[in-house]
Amino acid sequence: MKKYFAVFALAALFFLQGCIPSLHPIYTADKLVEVKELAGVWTEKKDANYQVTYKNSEGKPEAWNFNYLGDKAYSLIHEDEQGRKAAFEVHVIKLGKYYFMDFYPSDSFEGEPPVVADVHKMNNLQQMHLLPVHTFAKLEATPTELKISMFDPDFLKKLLENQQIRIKHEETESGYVLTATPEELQKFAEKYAEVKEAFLSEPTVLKNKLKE
Amino acid sequence: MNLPTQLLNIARNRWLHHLLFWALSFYVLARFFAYNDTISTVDWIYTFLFHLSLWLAVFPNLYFLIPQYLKARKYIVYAILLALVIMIGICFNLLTFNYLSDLLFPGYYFIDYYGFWEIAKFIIVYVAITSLLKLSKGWFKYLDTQRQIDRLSREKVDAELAALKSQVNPHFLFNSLNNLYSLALDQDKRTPDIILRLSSMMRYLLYESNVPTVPLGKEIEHLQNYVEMQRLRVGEKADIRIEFNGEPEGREIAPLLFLPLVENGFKHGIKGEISGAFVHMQLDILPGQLVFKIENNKGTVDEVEKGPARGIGLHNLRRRLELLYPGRYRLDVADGINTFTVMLKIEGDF
Repeated sequence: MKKYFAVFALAALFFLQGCIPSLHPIYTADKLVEVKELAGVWTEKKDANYQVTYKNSEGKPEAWNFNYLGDKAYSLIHEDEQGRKAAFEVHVIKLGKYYFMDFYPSDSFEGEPPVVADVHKMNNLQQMHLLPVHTFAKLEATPTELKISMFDPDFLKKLLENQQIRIKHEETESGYVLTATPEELQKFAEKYAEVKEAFLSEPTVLKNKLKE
Repeated sequence: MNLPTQLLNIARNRWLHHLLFWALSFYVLARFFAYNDTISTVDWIYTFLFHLSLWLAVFPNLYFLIPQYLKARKYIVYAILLALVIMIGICFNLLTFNYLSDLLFPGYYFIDYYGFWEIAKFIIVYVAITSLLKLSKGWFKYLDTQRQIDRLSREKVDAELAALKSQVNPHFLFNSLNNLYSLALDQDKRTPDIILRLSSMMRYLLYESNVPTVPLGKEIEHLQNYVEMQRLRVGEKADIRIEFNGEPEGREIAPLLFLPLVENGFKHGIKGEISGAFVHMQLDILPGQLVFKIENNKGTVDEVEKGPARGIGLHNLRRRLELLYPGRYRLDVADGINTFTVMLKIEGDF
């Protein structure tokens, strides 16, 4: 599947700005699971009666459209409140009693139009300077609700600056980038899944499942 | 206690060895674990926590398994218990980073970065290194003890030799004074000359023979003096022959080895029966070998020594030979009806 690195730039700006980027995914084949409740179009509980469609226009509620691709992989078309869209490849793993999501930028999926048409207009040289990364979130899924808790980058930044965490990383001009292996990421995620400060204080709660 | 001794005692201190070893271990492992060029606080803490499991395997091995089982040659039991200790160390390492680290250092975030077999490698390497250090230390201690035993043994031999030699001199003096007593009773004119020779011989005994070895030529000269002194005493009545074959130059020998034999020859031969008395001596200086043979007639009356003092010269000589030339000498005594023959053979490069 062809990926446009530019997607990362957009995602980083509008979607993943509150996440901890990682060079490696958090998933490994043995930990992948299929979460049946996930597939569908979800929106935040801002207006229970508000009908959100995939063709949302600017100013409408945030929409998350998950599709099962098979082989324990999902596509995600995310539309923010300004109507900007981005595509991601999503994997879900189960570590102990916890579920975690791995987001990875993509361009489009089969049968779907490219979600970011403007990427083709991006300068070629600029495209070469963008590197896609993974981000992670804790997932709590029920048939009627998705609770997505993103890791708090400030928390990690504080730990790294105070030399309180031992995890492989690099410090870049844009901030810290994790370089730990998937196994190490899994161990950290599982061990500290209950630490509230590790996650953003306000998780994304998706309650309205508009369509399967 | 002077400063070098104090420093030596400090250098030998077991706890100092431990301190230095583990300090080095801390630095090396912290350097190894650090993700960056500088060792951060979290790296030091991680290194400390990692050492807990190393200590859990290393110390029981050093202070229980090796002394109790390895040194007692119970190899199979040792191997089984060592494997068990290593296993405990591995499990403790996993436990440390999954649970204990959060209790000991709250606010710090660790995981078990290494798997079972990787931790096993760390622990096995540490157990092997510390075991080898302990065994080599024990080996050096053994060598030191061996050296002390050798030194004490040498000192014992030296003391024994000195004691034996101190018995030789009075023995000789005792015999000589007896001879002089006989001459003095007879008012023999040769008495002053004999006293002079005795004086010369005493000088050799007192001042020149107090060394482990003397030149063979010197020893021969001393024997000649003694024989000449005896010849003066007995005159032409006895057949006294002494023969030296070979080149004594450059050869060394323990002092006063032959004198007891010669003394015995004169004492029991000529002293006992002047008529028909003889003492025949021969020293052959051969390559790698010395052979001294003395034969004398047996006297019918032994007037000089009786009781416990009798035979003390031969006994002392045999003991000295045993200490000086163990396995390299042969002392044959042939006690015939009319003659008494002794042959001493010493092998080696003198």
